[in-house]
Amino acid sequence: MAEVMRMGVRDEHPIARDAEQSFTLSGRHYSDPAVFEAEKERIFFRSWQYAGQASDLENAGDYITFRIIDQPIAVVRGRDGELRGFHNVCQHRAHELLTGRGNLKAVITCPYHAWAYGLDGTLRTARNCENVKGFDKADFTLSGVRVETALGMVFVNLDPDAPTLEEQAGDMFADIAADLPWIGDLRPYDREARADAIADVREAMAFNWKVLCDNCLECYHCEPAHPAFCDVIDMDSYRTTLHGRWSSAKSRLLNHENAAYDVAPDAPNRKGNFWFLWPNITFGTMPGQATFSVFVIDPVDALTTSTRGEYLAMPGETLDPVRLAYGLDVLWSEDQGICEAVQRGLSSRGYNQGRFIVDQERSEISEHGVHHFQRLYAQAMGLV
Amino acid sequence: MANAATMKLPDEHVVDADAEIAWTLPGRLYHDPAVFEAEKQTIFGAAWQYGCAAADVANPGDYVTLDLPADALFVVRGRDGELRGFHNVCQHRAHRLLEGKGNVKAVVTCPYHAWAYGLDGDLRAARNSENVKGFDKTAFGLKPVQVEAHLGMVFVNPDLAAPTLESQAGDMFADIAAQLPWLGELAPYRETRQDVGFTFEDDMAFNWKVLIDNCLECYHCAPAHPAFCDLIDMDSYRTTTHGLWSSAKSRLNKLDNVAYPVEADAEQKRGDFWYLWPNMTFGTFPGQANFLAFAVEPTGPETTTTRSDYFMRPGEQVHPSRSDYGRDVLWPEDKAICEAVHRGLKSRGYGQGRFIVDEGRSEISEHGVHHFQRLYTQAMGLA
Repeated sequence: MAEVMRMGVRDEHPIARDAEQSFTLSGRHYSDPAVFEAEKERIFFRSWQYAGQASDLENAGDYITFRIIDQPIAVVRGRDGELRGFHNVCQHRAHELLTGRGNLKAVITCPYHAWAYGLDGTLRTARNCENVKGFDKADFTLSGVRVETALGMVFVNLDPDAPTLEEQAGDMFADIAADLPWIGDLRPYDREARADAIADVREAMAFNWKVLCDNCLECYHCEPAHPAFCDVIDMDSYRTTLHGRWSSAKSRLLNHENAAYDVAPDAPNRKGNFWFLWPNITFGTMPGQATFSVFVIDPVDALTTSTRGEYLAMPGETLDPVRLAYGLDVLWSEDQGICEAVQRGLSSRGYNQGRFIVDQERSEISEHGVHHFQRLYAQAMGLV
Repeated sequence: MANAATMKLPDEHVVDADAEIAWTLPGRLYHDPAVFEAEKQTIFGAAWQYGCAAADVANPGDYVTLDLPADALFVVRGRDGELRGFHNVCQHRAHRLLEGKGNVKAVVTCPYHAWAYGLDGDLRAARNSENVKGFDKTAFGLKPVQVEAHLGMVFVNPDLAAPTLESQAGDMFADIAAQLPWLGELAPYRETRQDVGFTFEDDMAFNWKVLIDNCLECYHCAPAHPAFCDLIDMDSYRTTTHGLWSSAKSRLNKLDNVAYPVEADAEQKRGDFWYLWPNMTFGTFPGQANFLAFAVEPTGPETTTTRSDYFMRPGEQVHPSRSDYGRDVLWPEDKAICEAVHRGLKSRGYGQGRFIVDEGRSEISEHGVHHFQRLYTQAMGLA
């Protein structure tokens, strides 16, 4: 019988505390539907999730909607000025209440039977309910979720007992504000005119959400996979630092004229700075015009991921189309191709666990950012 | 581990027998895969379900295959004129026997090894079986199911021990016949589905019970179907519940309405609808003499397909404005509702709902939905 190259069946190594000695998450965590179900409970339904922009919620009656996996959520600015989050579902017979974003004059009206809720979530009218035995409107208040804002962004947590956003994000927002002093002036960039922008929604891509997180958290792949990126960004300057539940990767502009897009000599921003907030939110800015992107990695199922987010710019400024196209058509395509190929490999019987390439000095190509994320994952999932 | 839900949901209420105080089915029954498997066994494996138009099996040899939620069956008109139903599977080694619908001259021949069955289900020929020790053809007849025909429609039940459809719903068929005295003169409408106006699709993204719930109340008609409320005199709309069926009856509001125009001499000036457990509805809209039968069939815990037959006077064309309304207005309104409700039923912020049932059982009372959910609760052993 011919000799077959055989991989020993190894017991799984846990994600070690020491990044320099750790193996990576085994392949099954990227494809097993039971793991995905557990992730919903242990991670996504008890962490701070990006909801949207505070600038969409400035006026009384303003609302936004989004989903945490399969959970529809709405955030509403009340008439009292309070921001409130709800499960976006009517308590009568479960029709979704609100879609998209907009403004409500006075009440949230369900499209199904016209039950009307105040902006505080209390049931105001339900046609014919006065003729129903034992009907108490107080039993039908919308189910609330926690809402917090930071740096003009709105976050929601489905767990009433979760730590505050500040406890989860530590001083990440202060760090962003310090690096990008103009961030408070930015607003969503021209949503109507843009068909696809860097942070727009992409649906149902064929890889597990963690594959994209892993990819975003290292630049070991940048030289082989993103040659133009390495011409605009000075890779020697690229440094990843780790914090509680967040990390940052910071770098500087290399060449004004480069293979990605040209950066004006007087461009306000010379930084390529990126932040990651557990479990699935990234933020960033590239050299050039003053812009900021929020990029959320949304699990759909064990094998599928969508993304959404926002791209912010100075009001009134026209953004360089070459710079936008670089992010969308070049950089993103490179990363999407990588993620699809990694997902296929993670299901291979010729792969079980990988290895973080982490050097002592935490150089620009060290993978300690990925380890940090996977270690947080292992803790959240009770693997360590 | 901390409770991930933000709301302390009440312990699950069972759907109470009293419609006026009952809570609705818990959301999880609309998407849990284990519930779907149990429904296939407990409900669809043992209930009367919609087959086809009787005209499709009028002649000896005519057959129609039925891929129902729990079983693949076919009905066939025998050479003796009898209508029979069988599981659509060869008794040799399980190959499916028939596809679609058509006519077999004398025998049903399996495409795999050419075993041939009479239209009465007996095994007639099995090549080389005469050389097989102890082979007895009579042990390999097709497995029968119950078949009944009512009002030009054929129904099947895989459970041979189930009561007859006549005993379960004979009064419903009598009620339909009384409301539609010309029903026997109608024939299946063979034009394209687009003409009929109810163009359901396969594998729609909601649980089958969401669509049934929706069909059984007109509380949603004013907010969700404004044109319908101009076509139909909502004050006249009344739902009455019976053992395994219910009806909702109403009158035309006015000839010139925003849904579609109705002729002054139109044969039908009513909107009458019936529901039959577990998953069938029947109905007639104002206008030309018409009758629709449709079955709401689960294809998974979160997907549903519908099948329907539409009946008109032979040779008569459906008025385009009528089919436009069904296809482009009424059905899209209902489909969007069902998709949105299904998403809401998975929310952690929803546990159980509440039937809005008033003492007078008015046009907007939801007692028809309660009736269905109560039947479901009993069938599934939840009460």
